[in-house]
Amino acid sequence: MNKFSTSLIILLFSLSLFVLTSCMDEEILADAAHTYKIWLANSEDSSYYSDYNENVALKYLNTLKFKGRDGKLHHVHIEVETGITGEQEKFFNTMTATGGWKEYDYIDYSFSSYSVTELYEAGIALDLTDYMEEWLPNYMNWLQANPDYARTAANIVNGERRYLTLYSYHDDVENWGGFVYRRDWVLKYGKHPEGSPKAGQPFTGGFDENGTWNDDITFPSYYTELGQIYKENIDPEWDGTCPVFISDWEWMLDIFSTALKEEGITDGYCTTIYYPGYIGTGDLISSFGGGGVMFYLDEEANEIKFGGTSEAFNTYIKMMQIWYKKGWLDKKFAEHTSDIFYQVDMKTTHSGKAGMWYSNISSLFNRLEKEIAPATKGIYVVAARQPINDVYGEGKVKFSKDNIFTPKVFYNTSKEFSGGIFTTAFKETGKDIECLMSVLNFLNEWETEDGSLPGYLLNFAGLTKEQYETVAKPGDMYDRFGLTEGSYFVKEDYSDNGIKYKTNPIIGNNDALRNPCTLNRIVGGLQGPLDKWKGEEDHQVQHEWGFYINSGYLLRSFEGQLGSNISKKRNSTFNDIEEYLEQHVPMMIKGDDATFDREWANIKKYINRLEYLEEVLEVYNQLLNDLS
Amino acid sequence: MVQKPNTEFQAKQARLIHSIPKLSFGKRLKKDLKKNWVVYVIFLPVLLYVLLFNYAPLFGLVMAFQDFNVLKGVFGSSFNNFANFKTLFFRDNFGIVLRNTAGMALLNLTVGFIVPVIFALLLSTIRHKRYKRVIQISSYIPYFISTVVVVALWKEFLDEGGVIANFLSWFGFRNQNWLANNKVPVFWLINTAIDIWVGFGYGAIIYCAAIANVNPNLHEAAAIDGAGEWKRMWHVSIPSIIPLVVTMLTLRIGTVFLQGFDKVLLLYSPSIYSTADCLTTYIYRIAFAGSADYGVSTAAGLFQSAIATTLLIISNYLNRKITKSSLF
Repeated sequence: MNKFSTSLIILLFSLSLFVLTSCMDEEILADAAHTYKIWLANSEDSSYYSDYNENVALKYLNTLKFKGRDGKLHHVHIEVETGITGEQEKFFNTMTATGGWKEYDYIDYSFSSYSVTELYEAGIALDLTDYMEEWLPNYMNWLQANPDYARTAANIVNGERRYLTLYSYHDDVENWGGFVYRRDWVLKYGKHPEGSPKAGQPFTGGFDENGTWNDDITFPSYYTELGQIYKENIDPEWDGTCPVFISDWEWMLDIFSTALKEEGITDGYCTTIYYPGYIGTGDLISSFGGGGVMFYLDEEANEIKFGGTSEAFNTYIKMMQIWYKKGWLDKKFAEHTSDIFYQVDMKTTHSGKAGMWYSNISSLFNRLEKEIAPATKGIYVVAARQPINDVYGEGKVKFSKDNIFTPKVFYNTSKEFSGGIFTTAFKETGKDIECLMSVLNFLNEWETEDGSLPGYLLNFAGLTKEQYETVAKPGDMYDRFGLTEGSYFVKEDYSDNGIKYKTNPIIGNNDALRNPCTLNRIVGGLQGPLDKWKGEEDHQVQHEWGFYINSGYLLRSFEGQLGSNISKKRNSTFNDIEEYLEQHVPMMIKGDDATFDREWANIKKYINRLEYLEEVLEVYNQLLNDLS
Repeated sequence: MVQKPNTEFQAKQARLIHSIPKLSFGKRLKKDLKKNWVVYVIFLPVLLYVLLFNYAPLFGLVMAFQDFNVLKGVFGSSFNNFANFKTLFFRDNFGIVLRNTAGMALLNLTVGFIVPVIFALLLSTIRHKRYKRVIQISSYIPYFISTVVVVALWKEFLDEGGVIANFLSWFGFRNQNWLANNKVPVFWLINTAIDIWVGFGYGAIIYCAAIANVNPNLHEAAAIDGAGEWKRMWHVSIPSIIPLVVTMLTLRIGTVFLQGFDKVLLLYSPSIYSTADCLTTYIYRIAFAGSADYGVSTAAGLFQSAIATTLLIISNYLNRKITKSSLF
């Protein structure tokens, strides 16, 4: 045998050995009928693991037994496939169009272009109605305790309420993003405002020797009549130390202007905004009363309205135009078209060259401080609640003693988050779909009678030390990130806040670790109470971002009620409006008054000519009526 | 010794050929298969590829006449006759999209087309072989760079403070991000400039080959008659390559509406849709960005193909008239 043949044989043998050992790596305890494949829209960063099936919590889940159709307990094996970031919608559409969905038993439908009703009508989504009481009682119990969400948890199909999807409910709502600002710049370059006992004097404070931040900053609106009206009617605990009005924001923007000059930053700006000139979820827009740009719920009137041609939106754009003229707004805001709304121009904001922006928790406190970015030296970023307009316009769009309102339409985490559908594939494969439902039911387990750990903890908190030890492998994610003592602990004494389970401080200090060590990506599970080891600063963040109630934002479960015909019209209308606005709103912001008026007239003309707008609104309101 | 044409012999040959009974198509095919089966086997994958990826997808054109729903598929979706075309033509921005496509196509066909020809002609005048080779190879390189990288480079060049923005500021233009400028024909010129930068070297290859094949006796004769370099280029080289140039132009006309999708998609942004949005990106957005209206986007694609085919037929006809040769 010549050298080439020998080498080839050795290579083939090594490859086979490699493949075999990889296959032998994990023992599969479940039989074919209890082996399930699920598709999730999102995976984890590859620094945790490249394949979601390496999730340690998932491996643990695959060692447990669940009740099946025959009433007996069975091992399950859940195999997960995840979407590619940015391609999820395309993949989902292709999967549903080509029949590829039949490979999966459970699908995360957060990136579906189609409503769940359409998926049901197409024979893809399984009708869960007859299964709910017997196989998903924990889920039903949560809905019973939360009637606001129960209202839209089922879909109206041919006049009947049918459960078509499992939503992930977050009982422990935590906001991951909102407006933030550099408080250190306010401290350094601001002065006590008019009306304050120390008016005109510089602020004092900063980091103490323990690294804790303190300051004596107060905002100008606190010393005005409107500020006292706000305190009396909206937030009696407000002590003026955080901004609440647009006037407070503008006072800060002026300080940021000074800061940029004094710091010698020529490529920064006071604030920036998402490239269309507005955030589609209504942030800052509902600061002018009314709602967002698209469809929103006016709770007082119990009516769904359209905000794109409203006075509130017009006044908001006017404010942006003025900010642009004053040099407060990033001149290139319209060019950051590939950035997501909470990560606009990170190159500038994360190098300390911006005063205020919309971000997630990664920007907070002194997290942005790094040596290679000199502008981040001494940075301290805090959260700000949605402001209320007390400057621009008149009447309903401006806060006054006769017009007290709070922002009602903006992005914040609601209790309802995403959803999953069981597919009808099991009818051909013969799998025990009820057993998979038992798994999801377990992940919605809120409390147990025998004192064992409720299932929501696996979904939201991860594994205890004892649980981890049953599946531990050297080099797995828990091992690499120092979580061998478990991702959470059971407190012996929880009289401090009544929460029995506490996050490992490693995760408490780095929240990004939470999802990779739990099953949180598997939609349809419950997020329950968990003591996340958050300090005072984090409480401030949650207090500010979650201060107002987002009552206007249409839940996904509500949108999911739409049938195929109206859903298409709604999508088409939505996209036409969005495309038109994202071209013309920046022109209004960057243009002069004549351009502003002309473009606004064009917007109104265009929107009023849309074929389906009135029809969609009518259907929405009919649906609202039916669900009430 | 020069042989005189033997017309009687040729006439005899013709009579002989015509007296042989003609075989049927089937028999001729069978005979050819037996003789040249290797060629047919080599051609088979090509045929399969064309059938599978060019002809089979034509079936999807039916979506242009349907109220297509992905979940129902082609066979489950109802027909809506020409409603998709009506929606397409009466959309607010369709006219602008057509204008942008025509504008970019025109620039592509004029400026964009002629640069490789000029480059090839100039290259042919270089005597120093090594220098000529270096120039040629350098000119090919951009063609092999991925579109994403090319676009990323040009975004930097055109950004405020970028190389091109700085260069243009010397001539009185404001130093700005040129890709955010929505005035006509800024984006069209940028698109053409990138096309030229990427393709002029590679596109010149065929002309270089044609110029190299020009009979050197013609150049010699012209030189003897006192023609300089430029006159020889004008009177010898250019006329020799005209048929090729016209053929290439014919081909180009047919495909000009279909080119440049990936580049435009990467370069444009909503603030410059009014000048940058072309048919291909417009179709892409209708199909994939949000509303997923496959019916309307298929109608748009069909419309685009119809225009391209019409242009190809017209240019082929003109080509036949001018150069007496044609593609079909």
